[in-house]
Amino acid sequence: MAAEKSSIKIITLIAADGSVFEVEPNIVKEMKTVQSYIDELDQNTVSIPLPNVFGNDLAMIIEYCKKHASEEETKEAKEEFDFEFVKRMKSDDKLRLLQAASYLNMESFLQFMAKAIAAEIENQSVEFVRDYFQIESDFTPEEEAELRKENEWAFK
Amino acid sequence: MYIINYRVTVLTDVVEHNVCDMNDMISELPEDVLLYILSLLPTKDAVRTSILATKWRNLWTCLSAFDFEILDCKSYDPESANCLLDLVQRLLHKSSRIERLCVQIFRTTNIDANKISYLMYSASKHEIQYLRLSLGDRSDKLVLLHSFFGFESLNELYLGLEYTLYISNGNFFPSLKTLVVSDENSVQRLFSGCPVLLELTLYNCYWENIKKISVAISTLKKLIICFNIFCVDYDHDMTVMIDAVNLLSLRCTCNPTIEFIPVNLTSIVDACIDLGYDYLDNELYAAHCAIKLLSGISNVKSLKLSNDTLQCESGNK
Repeated sequence: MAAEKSSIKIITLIAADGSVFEVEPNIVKEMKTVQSYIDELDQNTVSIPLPNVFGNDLAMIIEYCKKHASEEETKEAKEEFDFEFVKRMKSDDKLRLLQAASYLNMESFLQFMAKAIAAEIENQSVEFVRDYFQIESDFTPEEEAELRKENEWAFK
Repeated sequence: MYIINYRVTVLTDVVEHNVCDMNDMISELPEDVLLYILSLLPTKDAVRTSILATKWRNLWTCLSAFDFEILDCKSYDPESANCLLDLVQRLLHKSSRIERLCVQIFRTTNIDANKISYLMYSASKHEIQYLRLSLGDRSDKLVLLHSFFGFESLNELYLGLEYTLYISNGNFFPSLKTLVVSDENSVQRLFSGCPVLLELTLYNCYWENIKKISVAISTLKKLIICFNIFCVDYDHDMTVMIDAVNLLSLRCTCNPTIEFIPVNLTSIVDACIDLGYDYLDNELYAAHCAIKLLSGISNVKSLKLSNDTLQCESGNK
């Protein structure tokens, strides 16, 4: 007998470091990458490898999804959670989670992380942003000077 | 067992790959994610990302909303104003997805008027929905020739230009819903180009050169008129005709010797009238003006009057 998709009770996510997470289907709804994988399968239990997401990050993402999928939590409680969630993260964590959100195709979590990152680089110098994103400039000093002059308004 | 071992090997590879990519992982992200981050930043910060690395050089020009401003006292020089106009011009050339554009340069004289004309011309080629231009200084008596062309998709327009615009007749703003304008010389011509206008604000009006203005817009629902109290001299006979059969809301802040001619204001629901009364030397005329305005909006359901307005009326013995 072919199982109905609604009969899937538990989804197993396997992170890049091999750590395993068992979650209910409503938790992965926002992960479009995972969801499309589930939709294609016709099985009772599903196990999905996520080779681009580390276990620590996946744990945080699941924690976020659980909180936001919960119908019992008030809007205020979710906002409070979001605030604390960002507060305990380092900038590296934010970038990794943004990358994971992009890979998992999670729209609202991606926006949430993007906002957290934008808040950190707002009104900061080019040097700060380069350092924050760990970007190595490939401009020659002349090229950079030329661009600074062209876009002078932004550097005043 | 074999299968499990195989998987572990594959995953180890991936982990190593990821670790190698730890540097500059931001640039590995899809462009739309990077653009989303840029869209959350002030325009100035977004433009600054152009010098991070070559990949970022033109990324900011793919945004759809821009706020260019020079507000700072230190930069009141035409050089930086003209430089900014060049920057906006280059953006207008490069981009094809601008939806919202604000260019505001305050209290800077001697801006190159040709650059402004050219900017407006280039802007008209885009599908801009929201345009705000505040430029120039009152001491510059500049005229912008051929400044307006069709802005097909424009929904909101804020014009604070201290220039005289030459606008020929024509349906230049077929979709415009909201117009906020302070420039007296072009305002009358602008109305005729807005067939579906819903909200009109005339703010900071000086009205040095014109004596009559006629707001005859049948689609209009909301009208705000805010004269600059200090700049209309009291001997100046100014008339404002308002003919708007669908007008629901009127807010009027001006000096009491401006004669309003309300026509067809049968739909009006709320009004807020504040006629300044200080230094008034012709009370009778002021009372005449106030009463004329108020009798034209007699259908109103909610009316707010300032004390000064009441004083004007009581002047009519």
